Amino acid sequence: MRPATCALVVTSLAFAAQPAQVEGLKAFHRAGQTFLTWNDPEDAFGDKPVTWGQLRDAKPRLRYCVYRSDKPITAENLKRARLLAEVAALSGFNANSWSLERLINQTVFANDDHGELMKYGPFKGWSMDSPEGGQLLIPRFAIEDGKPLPPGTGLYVHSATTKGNAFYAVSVVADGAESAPAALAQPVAEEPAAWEPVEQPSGGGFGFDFRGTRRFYVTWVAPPLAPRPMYFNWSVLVPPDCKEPAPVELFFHAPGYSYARPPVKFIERSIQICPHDFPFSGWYGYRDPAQEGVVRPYTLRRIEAFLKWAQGRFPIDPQRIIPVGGDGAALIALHRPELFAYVLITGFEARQLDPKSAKEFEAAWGPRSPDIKDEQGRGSWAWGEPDVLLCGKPMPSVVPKTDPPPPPEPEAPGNRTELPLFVCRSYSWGRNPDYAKGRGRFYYALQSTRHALHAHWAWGGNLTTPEKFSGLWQGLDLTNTAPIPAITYSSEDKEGEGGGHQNHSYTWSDVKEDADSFEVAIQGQPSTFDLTPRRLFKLKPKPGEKFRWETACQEVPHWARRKKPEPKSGTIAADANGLITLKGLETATGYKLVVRITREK
Amino acid sequence: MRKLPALLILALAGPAFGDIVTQRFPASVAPSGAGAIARFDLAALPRDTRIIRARFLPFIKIGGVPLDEPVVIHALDKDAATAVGKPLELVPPRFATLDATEVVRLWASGKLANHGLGIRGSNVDQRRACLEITFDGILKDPPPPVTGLKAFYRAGQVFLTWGEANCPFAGPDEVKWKDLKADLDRIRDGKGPVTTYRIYRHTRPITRATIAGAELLDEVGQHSAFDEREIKTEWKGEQIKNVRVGDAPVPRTAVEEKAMLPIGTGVWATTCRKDGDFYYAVATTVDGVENSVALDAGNTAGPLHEKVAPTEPIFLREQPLQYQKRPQHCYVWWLDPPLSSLPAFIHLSLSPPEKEPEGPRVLFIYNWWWGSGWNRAAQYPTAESVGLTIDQNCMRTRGVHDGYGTLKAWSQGKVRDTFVRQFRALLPWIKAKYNVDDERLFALSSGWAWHYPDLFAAVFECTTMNLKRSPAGNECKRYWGDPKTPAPTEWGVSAWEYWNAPEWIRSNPAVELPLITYAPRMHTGDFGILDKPPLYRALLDTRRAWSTVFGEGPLIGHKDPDWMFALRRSDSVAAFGNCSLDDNPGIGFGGDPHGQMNAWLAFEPRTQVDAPDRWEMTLYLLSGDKRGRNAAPLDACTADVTPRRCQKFKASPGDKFAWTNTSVADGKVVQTGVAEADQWGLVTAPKVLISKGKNRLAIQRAK
Repeated sequence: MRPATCALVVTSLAFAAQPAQVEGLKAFHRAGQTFLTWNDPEDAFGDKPVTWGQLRDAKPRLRYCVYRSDKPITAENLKRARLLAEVAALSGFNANSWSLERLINQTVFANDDHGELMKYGPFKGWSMDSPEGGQLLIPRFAIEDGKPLPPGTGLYVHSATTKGNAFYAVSVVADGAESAPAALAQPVAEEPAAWEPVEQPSGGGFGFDFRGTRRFYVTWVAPPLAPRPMYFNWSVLVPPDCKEPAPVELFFHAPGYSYARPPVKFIERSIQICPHDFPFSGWYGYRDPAQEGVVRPYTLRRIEAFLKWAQGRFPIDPQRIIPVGGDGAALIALHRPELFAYVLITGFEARQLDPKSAKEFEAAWGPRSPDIKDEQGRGSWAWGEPDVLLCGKPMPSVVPKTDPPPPPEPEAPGNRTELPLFVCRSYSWGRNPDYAKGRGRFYYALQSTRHALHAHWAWGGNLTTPEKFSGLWQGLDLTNTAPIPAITYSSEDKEGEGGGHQNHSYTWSDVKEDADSFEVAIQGQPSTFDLTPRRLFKLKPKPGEKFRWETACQEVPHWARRKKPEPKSGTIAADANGLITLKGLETATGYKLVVRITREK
Repeated sequence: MRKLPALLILALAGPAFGDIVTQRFPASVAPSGAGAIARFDLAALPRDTRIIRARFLPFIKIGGVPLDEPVVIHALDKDAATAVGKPLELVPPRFATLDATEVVRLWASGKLANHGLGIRGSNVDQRRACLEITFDGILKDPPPPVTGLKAFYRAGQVFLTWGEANCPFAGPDEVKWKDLKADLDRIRDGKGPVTTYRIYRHTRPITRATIAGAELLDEVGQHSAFDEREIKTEWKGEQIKNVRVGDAPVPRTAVEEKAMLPIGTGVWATTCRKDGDFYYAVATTVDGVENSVALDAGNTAGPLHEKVAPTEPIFLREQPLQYQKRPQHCYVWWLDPPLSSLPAFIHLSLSPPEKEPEGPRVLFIYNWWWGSGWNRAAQYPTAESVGLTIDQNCMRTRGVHDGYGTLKAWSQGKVRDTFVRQFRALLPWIKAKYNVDDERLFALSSGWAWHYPDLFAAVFECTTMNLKRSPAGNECKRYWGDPKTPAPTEWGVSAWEYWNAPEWIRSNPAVELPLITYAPRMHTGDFGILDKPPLYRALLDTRRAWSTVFGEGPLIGHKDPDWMFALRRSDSVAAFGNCSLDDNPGIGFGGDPHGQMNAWLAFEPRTQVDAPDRWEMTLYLLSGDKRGRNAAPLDACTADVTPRRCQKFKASPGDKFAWTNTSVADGKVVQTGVAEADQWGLVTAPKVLISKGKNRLAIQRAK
């Protein structure tokens, strides 16, 4: 959408012996936000590429005060205008777009190295603060889709909270003295609306990216999507010829990385959306500056808002949104499970358990304290601990092989919450740091609350990914409305570095659900296991309600078919949480186990 | 530097004293400024004696790396501050000693006062540095002579063998490595008497009277017949790797077919430089004292009727390959410059095909890792090939500085690709002996073969294609110098950049290359990952014929390369690009870990049309074997197709062409289009539909 630019006249106001007045002040309003630009003489780089090092090491003299009022601003009434912000010089640069991926790309596809990269871990220590980090080129913002700001432009974006006309002025502060404000003679007509991302220049692109077109966006946000006016970068990759509704891979980058170019994308025809957790929020949120002791999920809200916008902009299939990544993917699936078809965990980071990372989390959330809570009243950073979110308490990182994990708290949210399937690579969030001990806290939490998990951590682990071209996971078309069988307490589960996995050998098919019955066929290695139907949308068992169940084995092609397990049947009552769990089911090589559960009449 | 008076540099012929004596005169070394001064007491040198030869032996440790700066050694004038005359020159063929003949002659004649030698550039061994002077005198206590010298000429080379004097291992059938190592360590450290053998050549019989006029060709150490490459090793883990087993017997090399040399035999070989009849002698020395008097039938030989001719490997034995049902013929090949920077022998093996093809055979060279040229684990990807392996060191196949293993500095030599020279020199012999089609040479290579389009029809590259970005490349600093200060090379550019395949390919779009497949094969941590995405980018952007698989494991970067072995070096090739089945190789991180690019695509080289105005090729997607293995994941894809390496089909930038794509299965035209030759004269048909049922692409010059 092309924004309407107001025809504005800048009024000069005489202030003596003060810094030169701001020139070129302009404003326009678009999608609930007013974009103010002015000439920033500190940005004297012209058309030349500008590196992060130049911006980082710059020592600008000038700052800019942005004023807003419902009346025309003059020198006389300036004090009555609201000071929205003091904006640093060089605000026209998208400094938060700094990205390790971009830097790696810039380095790898150039040939400027003379042996510096001839080592293990060539990018170790590279960050915004390192000398190497300074070499990255930083683009200027676009405030109209794809058009970078002209060199020498300052920028401030105000998000409107009320409908009406607003007047703006900007002054310069240098060496403690403030200039006369440059004020807009005409008001800006503002109206609250859903804020829209603005497409940014693509820059040089990447040496290789996944097939399709990657677009970069910036969202300028304020409460309730951020604690204060902030901006965030995103990228969206749309596959070629994408006309039909496509699944979404919502990618959560690893610490130190960014939105710009994820390392993985699994489904050829998926749309990939990549948020940026910078400034760092632990993929959750920040303290609310307006309310002491409250941490709000600004980041989750921001991502939801972006998804909503993206659904209007791209052909997105809302039933097939898949979070991909580490802790961020897990957290959003735990906090907003209904949005997602399933979750692909490429590896947990669990940095909030690492004392070395505490400062970063404290900066976003405040100290780990029972007095600092989220909106649900959870304290001590519990909103970021997946096992606590499910079980209401931390789970152990190691449970003896012969024992079940401890039960959750009786009223633990995980009993009643319906989660998507978690497909995970590597050890669980909250693993024991000792070599090859246990599975980790989250996997035990999923088991004890009987949720669906498919995890593999042997020798670093393999992620069972969806098939590239069909998009099916293990032949299944998983959606956020598809029932899933949660397999728990399998005798086939393995511990240890060389074999560790949970439910990795099971597949299922032929899921059927209606108001009175549920059916699924399970295949796997010879083993026994418990089965809990999850994400039931039609068959809704009530606590204590009785069901009849039966199993039967059907042959499937296999060269080493074993003895056919005997059919089983019985009745079972839904537990206090309305869950039906069939215990001790048995699979054998060469058969699929068909399980049918029917409401007793 | 002051020049010597012309008169003083004349060689002085003194009176004969009877014997040719070689004696060492220890140096007294003292630091001086940035270098040192070595002074010599030559009082024991008979007055006015004839100096036949003099060498300065600095005993500078040769660490396998050329010196950072040249060793500069001059005679000094009386104030010991000014260099006199030319600096001493390194003595070939080993370049470990310096020729001081001229200086010592001047000193001995009194024409130049002996103020010692000024040394700059490297630290000499103060304990062992000496002058070794050969002069007319009275020889006392000569060491025992060698016995049983045999000399013969074979295929452009002369071979000498003899019974070593003072051999500590005479007697037993085998020598254990720990025993040999102990004596080699002793010799290296100069502990106890050190025996060497001087090799002389003359146009006349070599006697006590004529040896002074003989040419000193080389000096060979004790234990020259032992073949350390073949000592059994044990794997000691990733950090230590292979270690030689102390109790393992040490085999010996060979100079004749199927005949390993006996213990206690000394050996030397050289390549003939001119036709003629020559005599040879081998003289024992102990700590420099040479037995130049006991010259008889036991240590002299000749004449040999020598002719300059291509040299040939010596067949030693046949053994079975470990993983394939075919024999391996093991050869020893004796080399010297320019095929090797130092005199040496190497191992190579040839394996006749499992399945005899009609007509000449494919030659497949297997040199991508470390190992012996007799490595039985070689696996040749086509049963109809002759397999060749030359001593393997994948870090040295791209060239080594010729100062490696000598006292030359980086600036005194060049990086030269002796490995490929060896291959080229061998080819005529292989072609004749093994019936090889030299249009169908293929290589399993770790980054070297792609640079030789004049040799190979296709190359299967692995490990790393840019050592500047590979942790393993640190080894090449020993051969090429530091990337920041690279050594001179035979190519005129830094070896780091000459072998930087991504950049070289990008910078030379018009140079045709073999069909290239690439697979990292293994140890991407060691070989690096940063070379790969730029390589793929360069191959794509310059429209090469190539494919890759990303994951560790496969040796060949194609899902099924069988079809490639029908390719001839003079065939045109179909270069695929932007295939819709391509996976993502990442940007130095990330990407599809087990992905591929172009690896499901193939073409039929034998039915191609390469005419001035028309090019045709049958293209297809792999449909897999009977079990469906190696089948492309979809039945059809699209890819850009560019004719490359054309012999006749040539275009100038801007030329117009029309193309048609016909389904081979039903003969129907499925696509048509027009294309314009790009700035390099390359014509690309974009997004060509390619199916498992095969498609015939025809590109015709527009009228």
